[in-house]
Amino acid sequence: MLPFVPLRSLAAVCLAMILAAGARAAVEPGNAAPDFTLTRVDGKAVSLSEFRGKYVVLEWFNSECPFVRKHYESGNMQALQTAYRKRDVVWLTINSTNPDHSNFRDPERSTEIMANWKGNPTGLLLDPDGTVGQAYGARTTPHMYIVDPRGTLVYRGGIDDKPSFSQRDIPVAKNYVAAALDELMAGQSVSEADTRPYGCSVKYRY
Amino acid sequence: MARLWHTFRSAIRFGAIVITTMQLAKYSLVALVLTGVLSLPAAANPVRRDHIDVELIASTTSVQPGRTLTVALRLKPDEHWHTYWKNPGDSGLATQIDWQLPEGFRAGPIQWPAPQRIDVGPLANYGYDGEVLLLTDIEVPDSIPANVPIRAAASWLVCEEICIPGDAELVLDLPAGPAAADPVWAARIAKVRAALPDAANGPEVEAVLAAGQQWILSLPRSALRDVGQLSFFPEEEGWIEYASRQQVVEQGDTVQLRFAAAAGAAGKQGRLNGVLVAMPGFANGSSSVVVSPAVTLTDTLPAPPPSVASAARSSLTLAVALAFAFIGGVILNLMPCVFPVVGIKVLTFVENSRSSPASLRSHGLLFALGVLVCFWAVAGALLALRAGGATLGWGFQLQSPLVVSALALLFFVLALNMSGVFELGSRAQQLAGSVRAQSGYADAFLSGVIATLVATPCTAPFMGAALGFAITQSAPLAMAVFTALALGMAAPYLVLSFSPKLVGRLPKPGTWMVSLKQALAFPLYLTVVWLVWVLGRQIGVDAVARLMIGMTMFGAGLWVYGRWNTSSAARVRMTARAMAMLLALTGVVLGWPHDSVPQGSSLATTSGNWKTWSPDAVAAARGSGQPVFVDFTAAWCVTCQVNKRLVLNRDTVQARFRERNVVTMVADWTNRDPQISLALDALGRSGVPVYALYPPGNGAPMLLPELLTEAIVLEAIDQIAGPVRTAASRDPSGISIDQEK
Repeated sequence: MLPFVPLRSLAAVCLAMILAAGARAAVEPGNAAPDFTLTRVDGKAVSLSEFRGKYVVLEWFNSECPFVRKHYESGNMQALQTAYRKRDVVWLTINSTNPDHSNFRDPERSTEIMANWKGNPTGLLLDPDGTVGQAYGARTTPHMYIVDPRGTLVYRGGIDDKPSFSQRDIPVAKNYVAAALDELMAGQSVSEADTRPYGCSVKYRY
Repeated sequence: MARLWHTFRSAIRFGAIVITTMQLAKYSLVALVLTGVLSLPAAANPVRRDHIDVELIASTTSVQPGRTLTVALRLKPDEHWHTYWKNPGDSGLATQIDWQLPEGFRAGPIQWPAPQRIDVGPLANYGYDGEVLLLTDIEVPDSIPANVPIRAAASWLVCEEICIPGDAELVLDLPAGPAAADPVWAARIAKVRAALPDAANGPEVEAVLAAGQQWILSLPRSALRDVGQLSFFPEEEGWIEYASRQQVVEQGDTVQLRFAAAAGAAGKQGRLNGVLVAMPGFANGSSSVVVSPAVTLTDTLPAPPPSVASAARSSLTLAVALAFAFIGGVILNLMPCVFPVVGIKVLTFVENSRSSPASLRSHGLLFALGVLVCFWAVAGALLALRAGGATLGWGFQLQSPLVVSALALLFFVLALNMSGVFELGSRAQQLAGSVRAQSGYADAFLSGVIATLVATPCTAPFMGAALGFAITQSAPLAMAVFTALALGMAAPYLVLSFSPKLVGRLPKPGTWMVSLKQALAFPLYLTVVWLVWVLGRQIGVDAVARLMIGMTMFGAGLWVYGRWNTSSAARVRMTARAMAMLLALTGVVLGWPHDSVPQGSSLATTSGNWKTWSPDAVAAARGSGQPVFVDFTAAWCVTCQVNKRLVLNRDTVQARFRERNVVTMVADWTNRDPQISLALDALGRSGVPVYALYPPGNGAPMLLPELLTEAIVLEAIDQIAGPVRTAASRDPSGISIDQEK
C-alpha cells in the first residue's frame, strides 16, 4: 500500500504543490507565457509553442455570455480577428467553460455557433478542465492576452475601456487589443499592457 | 413576441414607462410607438426583468425647492442572484445609473453600501446577494416646476450561475411641495444611509505591501468592538488578489488583516482606497468604514501569525477553560493512547499498597510532579516555538519523525523490560515481592513523564476547547491551562494515594503481579506498532525498516545485558556491558530517521469519498452551495483513527453524506502543515481531532465533539445540510435560465 520509493513520492508531492502554486499565480506582462496544448473544435491539437515567431492573441470565450455576444453580435470581434490575421497574427479563441455548466457547448455546437457568427479565429479551442485559463489567470469572458514572437506575454486585460454590455459603446471605446497590436507592429512597446478585463466570470469547474 | 407582450402588459399594469434598450433592440420601432402611446405622468413601480425587480424610489413624496432629495434605485434579484458593487471583483459589472433631470437639478454619485464577497469557484466577486438600495442625493434648485420627473436610465448585470444584463428607463414623478416622508421608503432609505461605509470617523489604518506579495492592513485593536471578522474591499482594480483569503492576525494592541496582493501591485501609484467591513463592528458604532491608507513597501514577508483570530475564535473564559482542561485531563486517562500506561501505574500502586500512607502520598505526588513537569516542558516548547513564528499545535512533537522513532524505541525498551528480558538494579528485588517504598520514587516520577509523553498525541473531550483557548492567550495564562490539564490527568492517582482505604481494597501483592506485568507488555508492543506505523506514514517504509532493525539491535543489547550482567565473574560482566552498549549504539545509529522534518501532506492517500483538504477547496464547495465536512486528523492521533473506523467510514454515515450532498475532506496533520495549523487556530483549536461541518455559503462552522458517535454525526448533517437541494429549487420563478441567449 505504501510506495516503495518514499523519496521519489515525496518529490512528486512537492512538484505537484509547486505546480499548483504556479497555476494559481497568474502571469503578468513581461513574463514568459505558459505553453499549452489544447484541442480545437475540429479535433486538431494546437500548442502555443508552434506559433513562435508570430504574435498570438488569446481570447477567452463563452458563446453564452452576454459580454461575448456584445462583441460578436456587433461584428467587433470578427473584424479584429480578420484584420490582424491578415497581418500574420495568430488568434486563438479559448473556451474554459466546464462541461457541467449550462453554458458549455460541445465541439459540434461550438463550431456551428462560431460559423453563424462568421467568426474568424485561427482556432476555437476547448479547455474544459480550465487549466490553461487558470494558468493565465483568465477571469472573464472576454479576457484578452497578447504573446509576442519570443513567447513573452505583452498584454493582458480587457477588450476595450468601456465595461458595458451595450453594443452602442463599441464605437466610442478605446480597443486595447487593437492599440497594443498596432504599437507592437510599429516596433513600440505596449503603452497600456495591463488593463482591467470585464465580462462574465469564466465558468471554471469547482 | 412573448417578451414584448410581457413588457407591454406590465407597462400598462404599472403605468410605468419602460423602454428596454437591449433585449428589445429588434423591436425598437414598436417600443418607440409604445412610448408615445403611454407617455403619461407615471409613478415608478417595480419593473420586472429577468430574475430581478427594479424600482426607483424616493424618501419623500414631494420635492421641496432648495432641499436635497434622496432617491434610490432598488434592485431586488431572485433568491441566489446577485448584482455588483462599484468594483465588481474578478468579473461582473457595476450597476450604472444615468440621470436625466430637469434644469438646475444635480445628481451626486451613487452611495454604495458595503459589498459582500461572492465566491465563484476560484474567482471572487463583490456585490449584493439579494435586495439592495443604491442611494443618490439630488440637489434641488430654488425654483422648480409643479411636477418634477426624475428619470434614470439604469443598467445592471444580475448573475447566479449565469449572468443576465438588463436595463430600463425609470421615471419617478414627484409634485413640488413641502417634503413629506414617504410612508414606505423613508425609513428604509434612512436605514440604508445609516449603514453606509463611514467616511468621516474611520480608524487610523496603515497599509504595508510586503515583498510585493502580501498586504498587511493594521489598525488599533481599540478601533474594533471585538476582534472578529474583517474584510477589505478595494475600490480599484490591480491592488489585491480578489479571491485571496483575508486573514485576521492579532499582534498585541494591533489587529492586522493580511491578504494577497495582485501581481504588479508594487508598481501602483497612490493610496489603497477601499472599504473595510468589521464583524461585530467598529468601536465608533459603524460596521464598515471608508479607508484610504498610504502604502508602505517592505522587502520581507511577515512571519506567519502566532495566533489567529477569526469568527470562530474561542469564546471560553479563563475559568471555564481551566475547568475544561481539568475534566479533559481526567478523561485523558481513559483515551486509547494512555491506556497501556495506566495499567503500569495501577500496578505500582498495588506494589506499594502495604507501605506507609506517607510513602504512598509521596508516590502520588511524585507521579503528579512527573506529569506536570512533562506537560510544562512540552507546552513551554510549543509556546516558545509559536512565539518564534512557527505554526504548530498540540501534538506537534509527533510531527517529528525523530521524536516518533525515539518514543517507539522507548516503549520497546519498556516492553522488553516488562517481558522480563532484562531488569535494572533493584527492580529485580521488587518484582520478587519484597517491597521497599523508597526504591519506587524515581519510577513514580518517570511514569508520570512517560504517561504524559504518550498522552500528548491524544485530545480528550473538553480538552480541545481548553487547549484552543490556551494557545491564543498570554504565556502565563496558557501555562495555567496546561497545569490544570496536568493536574486533571494526575488527579485519579493523587486521590488514590491520599486515601489509604481505597488502596487497601486493591488486591494484595504477590507473584500474580509478575504475570500481570508480563501480560501488560503486550499493549505496549502494540503502542510500538502504532508509532512505527506513524513513522511509515510520515517518511515511508524504508524508514520503518531502518527503525525496526535499530530496535532489534537495541533489544539484542538489552538481552546481552540482562543475560550476563548478573554473572559472578567481573570479566563477563564487563564484556557484557560493553557488548550491550555497542549493540544499543549501533541500534540507535541504524534506526535514526534520516529524512528530516517532513512538511505538507503525509504519504497517506485519501481514499473513497474523502478529498484532500485545502482552504480554497472548502470555499469553492461552499460557494457552490454545498456543505463541507472536514476531518482534521493525523496518523499519530489514536482517537482520530478510532472515530474514522467506527463512525466516519460507516456505510450509514457515508450514505448520509452523499444524500445531503456534503463534500467530505481530510486535513492530514501527520506532518507539519502550517495551513492546517492556521485552520485549526481559526476554529479555536490547536490539536486533532477536530470535526468541522461548514454550512453552504458563509455561515459559521459547527464543531463536533472529539469522540464521535454515529448519532452525533447524522444529526449534525441533518441540522446543517437542510433539505436536498435540486436543480428545480434553484429557480423558484420557474423562468427558464436559458434566456441569456
